[in-house]
Amino acid sequence: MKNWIKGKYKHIIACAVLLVYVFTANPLYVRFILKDGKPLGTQVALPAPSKDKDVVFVLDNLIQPLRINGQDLYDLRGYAFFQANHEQENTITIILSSKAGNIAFPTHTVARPNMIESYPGYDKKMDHAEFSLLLSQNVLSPGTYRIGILLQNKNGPGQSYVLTGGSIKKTPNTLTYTLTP
Amino acid sequence: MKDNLKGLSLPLLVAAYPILFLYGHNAANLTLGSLVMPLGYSLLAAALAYGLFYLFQRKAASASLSAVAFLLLYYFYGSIYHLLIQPDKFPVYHFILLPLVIAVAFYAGYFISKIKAVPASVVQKILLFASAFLVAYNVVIILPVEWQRVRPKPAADPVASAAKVVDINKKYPDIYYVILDEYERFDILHTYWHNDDVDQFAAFLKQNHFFVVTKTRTATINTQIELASRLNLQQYNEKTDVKVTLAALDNNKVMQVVKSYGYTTAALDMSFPNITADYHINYDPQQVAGMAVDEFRQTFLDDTMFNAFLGYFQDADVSEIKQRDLLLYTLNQTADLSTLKSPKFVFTHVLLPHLPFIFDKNGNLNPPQDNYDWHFYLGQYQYTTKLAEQLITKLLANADPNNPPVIIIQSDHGARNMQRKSKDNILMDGYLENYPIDYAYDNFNAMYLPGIDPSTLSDSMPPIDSMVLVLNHYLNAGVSLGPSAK
Repeated sequence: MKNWIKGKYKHIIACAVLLVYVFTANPLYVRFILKDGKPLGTQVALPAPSKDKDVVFVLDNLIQPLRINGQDLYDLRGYAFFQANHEQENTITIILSSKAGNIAFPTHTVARPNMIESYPGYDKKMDHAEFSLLLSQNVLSPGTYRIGILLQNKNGPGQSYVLTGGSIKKTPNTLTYTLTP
Repeated sequence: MKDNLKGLSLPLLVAAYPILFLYGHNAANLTLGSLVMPLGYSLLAAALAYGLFYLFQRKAASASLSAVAFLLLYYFYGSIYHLLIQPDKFPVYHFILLPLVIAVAFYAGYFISKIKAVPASVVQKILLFASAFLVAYNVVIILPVEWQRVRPKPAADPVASAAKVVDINKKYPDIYYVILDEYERFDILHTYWHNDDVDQFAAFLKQNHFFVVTKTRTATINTQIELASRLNLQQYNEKTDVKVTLAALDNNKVMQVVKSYGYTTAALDMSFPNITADYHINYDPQQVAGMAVDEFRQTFLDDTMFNAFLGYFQDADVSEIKQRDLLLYTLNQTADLSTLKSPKFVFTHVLLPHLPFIFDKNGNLNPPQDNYDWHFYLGQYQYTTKLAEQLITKLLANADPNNPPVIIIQSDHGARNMQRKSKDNILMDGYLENYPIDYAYDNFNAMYLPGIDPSTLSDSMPPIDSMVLVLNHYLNAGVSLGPSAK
């Protein structure tokens, strides 16, 4: 046995290196190479979901696969603002909740034709309420995630958290988005 | 050195065979240009693999066989990837799978190097003979097709028309027949999009004495069928063999008729580049495809190890710019064919506002991720409208006032709002909500017909009637629609 190992040690080392690579490649990729579609935090404490409809929101009915700077990502768009203050600038964070915890993803403002414009009472000053979430499937473990929106006033106090009715189902190789009205 | 290269021919032939096989079986629809990338990359991969194996093994036959083993994995990489990803039991990432497959190839090379020199050399020679035969066989298939392509085409026989009397003293007008692919009828802009911008274009057309057929409908929503039908005065349908409609389009009746009246013909078609005409824009299918799918290239990228680098071969910005340049070049050429002898018949088919939706309403490029989202159709439609207005303005400005041109701006069909899904069942395109597919049959048709009283024309005139009207009124050609089109 000892002689066999001695005779094959180069192959054993090669196989061991490959094995280590297989198990560490994705975490290393997420840690050092992936720039977009990463969460802000993986165990976020949230306020209780708001039930008094103080937040107006719409999520797009599709999630778009796209490639940015060599990264395969998904793009989910929508808009969200406080009912009482349409024009207030907010930080919009998307929360993916599962049994394992709440994962927070940043969004950025992006215009999309015919989206927020369809809202009755639309005003040009509301354009900053349109957001885009970039999501990498490399960062999600298999499971079902409910989609929530955390809205925080950018220039003062005031925040609210709503569950959207949307969910993301992640399997080892697929990501499926469902929006329940 | 000579000994080093002795084994190179086998990997090169093995690398070339699948590409030539695929090309040979699709040669009628492809050009030699589309071979360059797949063949070049595969030959390079074969040469590199051979060089690397020779470096380690120092035996030509064994390095040659090892490179063949590598090439098998190279060509089956896409299948391996799909095979692993389908059961969806564990995550499959290219950055893990590709190094593993390359490692397997190296191990295969290692085991092959253990084969004794004589049997390795015998196997190598047998494979060399077989692959040379297969490559030669495919070259024999390809050559006649390529020869057909480069040999000068005989002029098409003029079509006899019922009452053909060519008046040599008559100055026939130039005829411009422009197809805007997927351009919706005006009323759909109001009813579905709630957009009134198009009213300005409608007013422009009216001011310039265009007759807009407000209730026109197409028989099908297939571009090839529609163009073949309208240019042959014969309605084809979805059951017609695609080869029949393609051949009919390439050698169409309308262009033969006008040719027989002394017209110079020009075909500027981004999708059907083989229409017989005196003047073409020589679109390279690779270029014209732009962002549209070049299936041959795509098959190569999907199946081989290049599958792992798909994203790098589809640089959206570059594709968008290429697409934009081709679209604008086509329209500019349509308006600037002054070097062609009049009378001329210019047929232009431009992929606007057809997918990909690269333009916003002002002609700026959209972000690449929006190119296949139908919510961006409206912006591209609005910009197409501006381009159509510019085209008409130029054509009328350059026209001889004593012999004004005939201009027909038509769509092949309206917006089809077709949905695509990825292999993961994810919607690839933004899909328009509550969009009735029936809208796709509502066709745009605007005609500038000097000397024809618009009140004599029907506002539900089918698009296939346009060329009958033009040929009979201006050329007295005595043509009529084929039986199925009536």
